[in-house]
Amino acid sequence: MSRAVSVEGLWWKYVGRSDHALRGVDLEVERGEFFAIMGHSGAGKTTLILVLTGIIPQRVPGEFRGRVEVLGMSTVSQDVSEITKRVAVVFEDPEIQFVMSTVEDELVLSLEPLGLSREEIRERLKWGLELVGLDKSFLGRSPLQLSGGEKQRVAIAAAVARRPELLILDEPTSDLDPVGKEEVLAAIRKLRDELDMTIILIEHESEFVAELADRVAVLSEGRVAAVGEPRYVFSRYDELKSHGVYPPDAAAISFKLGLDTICRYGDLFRALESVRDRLFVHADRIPNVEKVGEGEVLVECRDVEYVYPGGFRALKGASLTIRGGELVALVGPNGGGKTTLAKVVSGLFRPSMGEVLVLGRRVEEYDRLTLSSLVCYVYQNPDHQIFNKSVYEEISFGLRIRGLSERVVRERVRRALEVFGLKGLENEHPFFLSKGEKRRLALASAYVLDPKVLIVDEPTTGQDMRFNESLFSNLKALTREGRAVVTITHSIALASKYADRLVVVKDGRVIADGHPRSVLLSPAADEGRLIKPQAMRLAKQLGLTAAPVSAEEFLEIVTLR
Amino acid sequence: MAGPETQVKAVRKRVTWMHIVLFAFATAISYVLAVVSSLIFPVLGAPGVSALYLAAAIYVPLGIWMGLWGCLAGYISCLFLGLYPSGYTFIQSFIWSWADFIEALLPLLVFRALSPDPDFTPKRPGAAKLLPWFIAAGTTILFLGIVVQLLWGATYGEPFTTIYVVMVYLGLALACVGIAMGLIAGHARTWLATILSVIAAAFGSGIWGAGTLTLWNLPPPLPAELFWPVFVGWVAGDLIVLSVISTALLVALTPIFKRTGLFVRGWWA
Amino acid sequence: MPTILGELAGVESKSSRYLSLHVSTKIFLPLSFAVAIFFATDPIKALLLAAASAGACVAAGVPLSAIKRYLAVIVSMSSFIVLAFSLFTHIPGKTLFEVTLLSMQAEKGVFEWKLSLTDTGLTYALTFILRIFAMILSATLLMATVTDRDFVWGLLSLKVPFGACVATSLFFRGLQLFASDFYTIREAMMARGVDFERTSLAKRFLLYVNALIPLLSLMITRSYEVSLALESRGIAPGSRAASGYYTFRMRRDDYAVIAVSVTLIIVYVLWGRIP
Repeated sequence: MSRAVSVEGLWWKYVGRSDHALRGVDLEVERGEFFAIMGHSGAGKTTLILVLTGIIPQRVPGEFRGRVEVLGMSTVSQDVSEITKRVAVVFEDPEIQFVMSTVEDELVLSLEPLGLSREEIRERLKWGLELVGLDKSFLGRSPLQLSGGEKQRVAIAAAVARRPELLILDEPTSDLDPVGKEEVLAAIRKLRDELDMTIILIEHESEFVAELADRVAVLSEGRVAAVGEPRYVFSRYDELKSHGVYPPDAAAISFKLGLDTICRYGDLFRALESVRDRLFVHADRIPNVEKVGEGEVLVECRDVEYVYPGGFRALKGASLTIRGGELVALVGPNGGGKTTLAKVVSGLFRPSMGEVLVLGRRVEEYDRLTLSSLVCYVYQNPDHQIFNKSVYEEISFGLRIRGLSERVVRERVRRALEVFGLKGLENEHPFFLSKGEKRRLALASAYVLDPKVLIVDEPTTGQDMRFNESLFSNLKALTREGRAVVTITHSIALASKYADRLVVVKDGRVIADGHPRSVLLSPAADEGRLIKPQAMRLAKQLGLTAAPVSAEEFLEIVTLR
Repeated sequence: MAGPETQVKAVRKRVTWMHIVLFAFATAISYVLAVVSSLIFPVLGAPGVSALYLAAAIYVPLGIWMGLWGCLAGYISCLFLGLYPSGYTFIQSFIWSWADFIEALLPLLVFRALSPDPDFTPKRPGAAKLLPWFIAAGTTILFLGIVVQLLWGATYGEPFTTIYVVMVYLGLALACVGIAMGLIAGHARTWLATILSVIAAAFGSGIWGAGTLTLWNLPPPLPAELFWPVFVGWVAGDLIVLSVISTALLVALTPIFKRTGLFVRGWWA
Repeated sequence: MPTILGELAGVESKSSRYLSLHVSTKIFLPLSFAVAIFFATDPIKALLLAAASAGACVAAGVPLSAIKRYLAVIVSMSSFIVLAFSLFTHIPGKTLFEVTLLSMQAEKGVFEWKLSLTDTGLTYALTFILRIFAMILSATLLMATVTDRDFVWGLLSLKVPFGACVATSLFFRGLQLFASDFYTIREAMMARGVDFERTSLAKRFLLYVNALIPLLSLMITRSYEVSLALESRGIAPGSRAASGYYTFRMRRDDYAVIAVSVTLIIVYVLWGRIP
């Protein structure tokens, strides 16, 4: 019995849906293996996890077909409570995993079903926390007061304290900022190195998968599109992209330079170091540092300060100018003031000091209706801003409260549906849209108001690269209409590729503002804890004169003789 | 070695974590809205009583969607409302809060009797939007007319009797228009059940709620003389909230509960 | 760990021996005031009860400034109680003040509506008002000394099924979560152009429908995700805590406070029987 997981011919359809979420999945995971699963959003990854725990089909209504065995137990006939004594899951959103008021209670709750004694529970609490790099002082704290990375590590501690034979991690880093991601990854590395357990990791970031996994499977539209060692899977570069999976830059670079596919950054660096004398930099292809800021000034913030009602000073003299035709990316660590600055720019928050001018007029001089037509803010969680029971009603909501005629409303809604790929979904209830569709709906609802400035808060969280590339491409297209788009994001790779300006916000101040390349090369990048694109790090380490922001740019500039 | 291929059409009929978690969160939302309502739309002199009690818009539809979970959500949110910010004792609150349990229970019973598989799809959206106002206005005017007769008309005769008659006829007329609109708005039994639920919930909860605040409790926090003002305020406010907001939420969210399989056809599962 | 009143209203009790009592004790004492209120049928009894509950709050470390939050409640209730005994009815007794507000010839006599203050009416009003103080103080004592963790641990130690215990914990967590959601949704509506300040009350009321749709949608989505996370932890709603981790021991202080509570009830019951 060396297999941890055996899946044969798995089909699953949720109740109320017309399509199957999983279509004939066949998969095997060996005991002790570190197995990764990748795929585009909606491919069926989380559904597969729920099948492996028996929650599907025992707790979730739907139609199930196939054979699934986990650690020798049938997930259909063995009760969920028995399966989950040996299988532990950590979900994407750390918030939903906490039901108790302290970390201690959270960990104890996880251990209760195991029938351990009080002393054994105490031992496991300590052990679980140490394993993820947290100490005893966290026991008395409320999980809600922790940072994103700490929350997720507590969730992992609660899972591993049960000493499961199979640990499943469902996109554990996707909701986190770069600092949080690093903390969680360090914890996962430790688990892999110190514990003898089978680990299944669902992840979008191919760099992490390349570093950690023994094997990886790619799910697409409910089917397994590829499975094997990362080296082998990531060599199918173009095919993977069509499934919404983007191999790490290292794989793309090594493959296109004619080397054997290398997935890990460290391995690629060593390989290229060894052929350093054969690397040729085409100086004429190195992009010039581009000029920024020539369009009409739409919004100007001067020395803005903002203090929250509790007394926390979120902005301490931040200044920012936004011009028409540019895509501006606001980046920086969590808690640095990016969202606060964005809300001040949109007029949702009035600054305690300083001034905000929209089209040359102070923001206080505008009424809400007019201001929201000029500067529109789109929230990170689309569920916060969907107020109606159909897609059509939602998009038209803003137009209706402005008293526009039915004919104008119909026309503008039709255009918004087209631009954001929502045609055919007019009568659908927004609740049943996918995450990506909801995000596009939120954007469409703002776009339809024809704002001069569109502010989008972290639109890429939890989405696959294909969606994110498409989204940024859409946002870029909007700037060609003369609008400005400001996006808050943690994805430096995307920001470098699409944004005209990178603005780094830290500790309530703007510490850098310029072209992405120049900002990433400046000391502000380290100060703002920005994770530079792999291609840029590689070029720097190799001592090349270029600073490419993507694998494509690297390959354009550097060839192997 | 895997077993033979399995085909399962999973049907959930037992109480699961989904019911419990949804109930807990619904109770929390109800409490938040209860506090907000009692602060924004207070009935002076009767803490916890709100002229427009938004919390009812949550737990009354929840009762229709999820059975007794909605009733329990109403009860517990009211229990905590009684403790803070209303300041009633635990015993007073324990007794008073049954008003909100009744408020969710009566619509649940009406729907089980008349329309156990409700369909709120409006065939005539205009009628569906207007009918709540006719029902709320008609029932309130009718009710006020009856109160006038009870308190003054029986003892003093004219002009109170004339006022009573006019209000009864006007109220009945408006309510009948509302009922007629309900019958043509969409699925007749569903809309009829909605109208009857609103009226039953408002009066049923009002009798218990106002009664336990003024007439009976251990002890009632307010004097008996305040029964009629509290009762009238309670009923009128509930009629508006339930007919306008609850109905709108039932139309908007019933499809979600049905398509996700959350709709409870038993009492708890 | 903030108390329930601390979480809801930001009022925190000072550290005291009372706070470390068993949760049943901390619930029983306010309950005993609640029972005694039933027998506080005259101003003296009501005043003593109010004083006793104020004393209990002080001993428990509850800042009496917490009463500030109830000021509006106290004032409005008091006013309406006085109005109840002077405007909505006439309590027989020595008339201290009387004015006719409305006098109308009706079919069967003269309908008069008077504001009439009598000594008996004032006594009744005073009793009610003092009882309100006792009521509010005992509710404050409960909410300002019990934490949500107390409730949950209490239930777990009593081997109440996990379903009820987790539901209790989620209720308290949900308060903060959905209050924050409500404000974000309201803000999002403003971002779309809704101006709550300049909108009429009627229109604002209708806009609440639009605010409740995302709130309930979020409730359903979150419930689904949390329930999946709970299922994956292998805890059945009907199972109970078996590890013995959640144990509470009653101490001497607990027995002393319970004895005081029982004495209070007995005293008031007996006092109430004295003619």
